[in-house]
Amino acid sequence: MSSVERDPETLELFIEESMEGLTRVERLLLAAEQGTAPADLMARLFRDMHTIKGTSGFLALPKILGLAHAAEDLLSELREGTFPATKAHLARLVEVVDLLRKMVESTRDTGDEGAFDVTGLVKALAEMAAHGPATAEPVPALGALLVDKNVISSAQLDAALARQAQATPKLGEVLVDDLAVSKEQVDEALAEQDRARRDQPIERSDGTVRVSVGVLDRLMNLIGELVLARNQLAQSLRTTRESQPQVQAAVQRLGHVSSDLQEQVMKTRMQPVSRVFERIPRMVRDLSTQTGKLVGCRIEGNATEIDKALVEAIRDPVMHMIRNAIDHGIESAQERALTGKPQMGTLSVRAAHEGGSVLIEIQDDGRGMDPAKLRAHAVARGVITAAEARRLSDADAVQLVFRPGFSTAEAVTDLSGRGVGMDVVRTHVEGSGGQVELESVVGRGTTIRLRMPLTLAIIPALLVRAGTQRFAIPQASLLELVHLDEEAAAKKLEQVHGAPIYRLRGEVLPLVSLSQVLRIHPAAGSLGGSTAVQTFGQPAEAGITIVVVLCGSQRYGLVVDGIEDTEEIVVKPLHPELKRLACYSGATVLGDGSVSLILEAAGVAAMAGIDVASIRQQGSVERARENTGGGTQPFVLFEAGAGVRCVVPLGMLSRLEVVAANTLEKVGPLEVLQYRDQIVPIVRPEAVLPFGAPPASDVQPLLVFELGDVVAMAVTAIIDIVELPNTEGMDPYSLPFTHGKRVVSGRTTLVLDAFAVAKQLVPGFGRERARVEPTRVLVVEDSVALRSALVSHLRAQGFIVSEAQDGNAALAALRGASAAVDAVVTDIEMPGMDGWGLLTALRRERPTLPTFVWTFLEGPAIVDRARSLGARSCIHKLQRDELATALLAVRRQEKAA
Amino acid sequence: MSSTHHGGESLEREAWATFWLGGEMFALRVEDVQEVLQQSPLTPVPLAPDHVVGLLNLRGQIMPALDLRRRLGFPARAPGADWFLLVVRASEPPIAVVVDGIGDVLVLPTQGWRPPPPTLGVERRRFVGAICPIEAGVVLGLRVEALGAESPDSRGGSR
Repeated sequence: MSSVERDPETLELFIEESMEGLTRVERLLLAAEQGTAPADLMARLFRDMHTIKGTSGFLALPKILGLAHAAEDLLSELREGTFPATKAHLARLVEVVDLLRKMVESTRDTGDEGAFDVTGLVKALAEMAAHGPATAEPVPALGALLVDKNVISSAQLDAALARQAQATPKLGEVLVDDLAVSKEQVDEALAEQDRARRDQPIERSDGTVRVSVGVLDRLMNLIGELVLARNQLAQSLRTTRESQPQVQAAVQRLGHVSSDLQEQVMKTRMQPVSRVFERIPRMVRDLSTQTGKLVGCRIEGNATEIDKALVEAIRDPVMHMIRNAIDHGIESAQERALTGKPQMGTLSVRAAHEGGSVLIEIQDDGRGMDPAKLRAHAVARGVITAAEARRLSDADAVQLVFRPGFSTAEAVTDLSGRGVGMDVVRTHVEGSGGQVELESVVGRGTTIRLRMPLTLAIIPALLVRAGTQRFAIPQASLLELVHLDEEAAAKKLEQVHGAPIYRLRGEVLPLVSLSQVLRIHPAAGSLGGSTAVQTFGQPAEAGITIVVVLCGSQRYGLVVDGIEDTEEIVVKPLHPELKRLACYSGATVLGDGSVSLILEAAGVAAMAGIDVASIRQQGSVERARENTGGGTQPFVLFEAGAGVRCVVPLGMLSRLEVVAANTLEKVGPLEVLQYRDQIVPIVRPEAVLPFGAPPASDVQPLLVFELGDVVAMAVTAIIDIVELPNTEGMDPYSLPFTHGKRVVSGRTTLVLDAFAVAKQLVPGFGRERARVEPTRVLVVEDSVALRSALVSHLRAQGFIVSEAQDGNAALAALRGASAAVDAVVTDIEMPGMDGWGLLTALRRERPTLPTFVWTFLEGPAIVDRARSLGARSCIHKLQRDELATALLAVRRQEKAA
Repeated sequence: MSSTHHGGESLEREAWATFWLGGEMFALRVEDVQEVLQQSPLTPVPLAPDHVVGLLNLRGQIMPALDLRRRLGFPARAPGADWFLLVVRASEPPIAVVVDGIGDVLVLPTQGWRPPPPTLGVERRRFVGAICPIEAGVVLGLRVEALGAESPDSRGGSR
């Protein structure tokens, strides 16, 4: 019936606002009847009624508008004091509130005001506004009225009343039966009684009572208290030696009762998911119109109930996923017909209770997600590297959509593009204690499942200790507990300068010490400690307890000082002032009455300086490496300082040397070596990194680097040349002077940034050249992320870098008067003019300008084509150092020329 | 509840709950104070701002306890010295403040309040809205809204 198209958002707001307004009005009216209304009662009532009138007019809800309008008119008179407000006015207004509420509810549930008749009430209000109320006397009894009118005597009345009491017909009928009065006389009296009754506040009584959410919340809190008291009692009973059986029975019963009570009160907070689902059909219709696709939708489990707070939490994710499904998943009718599918696509949304949680499933029968495309896309967006992409299984590739940064500019259409991606959906859902799963089969469709908890208010949690203080970790973010005794800890914990890790069944688990993050005993071991056990400041005999927690889809190990019990806790929000502390999600009262903070796994990780997204990335890099494929690069594996394992890319080295230790000379603060008629500065990584002193030795192994200038690194021992995947380890613990860590032959190994070490230790290294004649490089690349990463990398190495987003922009920049450039680095695949086009144009316009192709594309065909267009070399995007070296060579050649 | 429309023109009076802090007498409106507690167990909040002494469990309601000495820049309380908690309900959600001692409830004329003198210092003027001279000296009226601290009002945003 709803013929008027209304904006659902506005409508929802109106409904919310009106219900609140009506509740407020009702409360004020009741207060007024009891004589406790505020002085500006009428003004307040007027304001609320005015708002309802205004919005309903805007939304074309004529009956609500008419009634609110009439009520507003009356309130306006009352506010002006034209005549004093009486109980009759208040009673009328209560009627107005009731009827308005029914119509607003009907609008909410059916989109239509419903078949309510407002004319009578509108008329009555208009009369009141014009004349003031009829005088409000108490409603006289019918008998009394008739006696007053001298129709019957009091004796007759008493007799009739007595008979009425026996048989309970209506008094009027009794009197008519008695022939004491005529039917007309009774009717007349009844009509009068009715009129009087209309001026009275009406009483409401039905099967339901409207309760404000505030009251329910309070009730929930009190139940929480009760549960706590029960826990306390049970606890003290456990510790008392001789407890009496009666007491125990009573406590047990108390336990049952409070559990039941808890469940019942929980039920009052439950709302059907239809609160969210009811908007889906409309949305599907709108979206299919906009996209020109045929989509039918099937909704199941509307009545499934879930906590009110969670209804709100699932709203946006569900809507987003439906938008995605129609926008990206379901094909056009023609495309479907071609693949032999029914022309109409089907979107089914299902909700069901499943094992203590609510499952929401959104399924489409569209084209599904193509793992190959997802991989390519993720690489193009810089979410993962090409090498990583190659190693991802199809099932894992589908999960790429959850990665931050995956949601794309290209995919931003009218519908889905709101800057939110599936990563935001996941964050939202996980923030409410839920999980998201995604399955997709190419050509068959995609299924997304949200698994939400039933309630957020009471959760099971593990109590842990940091120092002497107890903290609660929600069971939902808990994976397992690991305890290592001293020996195991010494053996199994590895440490990369302040970043301890534990290898749990082969997977690298970053470790975070809870007491250190929270600075609970600051005297604890320093980060620079050389053994892992020291790091945690724990006496070795206690060993180490690791709580493995889930943080996004990745895990890390939280090192605690002790584990206590598990307990059902009532989550209470923290004061706003403390909400900034990301490591806590709330607080709770424990069984013994003390307060305990609830830890937020992601927040603790953030405070510890671990980037959750990086951990995710790291985790998958590690996983990817296990099913390793091609794309490797030779590295030199060596030990530095007191035996810290490091690697550097072999390509950066000109030679490996072992010289007699006494050939090194001291010149000022610097060690040097005379090497092939050159004076080569010596750098030692332990001078900038806490590697410890190397053992004394007669021989000195050296890594000779050709980094523009020649520099030699003194190391402890050269071990091997190893092939490693040439991914850039996205490492959460990237220390200064390193590119992160790798696992090499089962041991954690640092990827040393030789350039940075040399720059730090050798005065004028890199910088001096930069001062004299910095190489000016133009970087042409369409991906903002890749471009800015490369630009900052090159800048850090002393280049002067300008940028362009495609061939056209590059040419424009090069033609500009001020643009002097020594070399151009260009991507191949770009919108507008691509790399090939740019190279062709440059060969014509600037034949002497060195050009470098910088691409993910591989293969001899690409290299040949680049060469034929005059490019110096074709460098894979993962080889940043190779590019830097090649760019340095440009200047050397110029120098030589 | 509102005390505005009885009494004559200039005789409006309000009841103030007074307490001691660093030897000075401070006051809050009686209706802003929910209750006074003796020293109660507080759970420290690691990494919290300095003036947050801990969390108080008031019959199941958890609220932060703020040390007014630290808040107002008084020297720290001597170890072992007495302290009390005032539960301030005017701020929403409620907080508790730690003070040195509890004074009487004083009924003070509304007209008696003056702006705080500049000599009070910037830090304290943030928290002291007005002062009222009494026979024994002066009462410093605490601004309830300043106590809840720098947290912007984050209520209402329910989605």
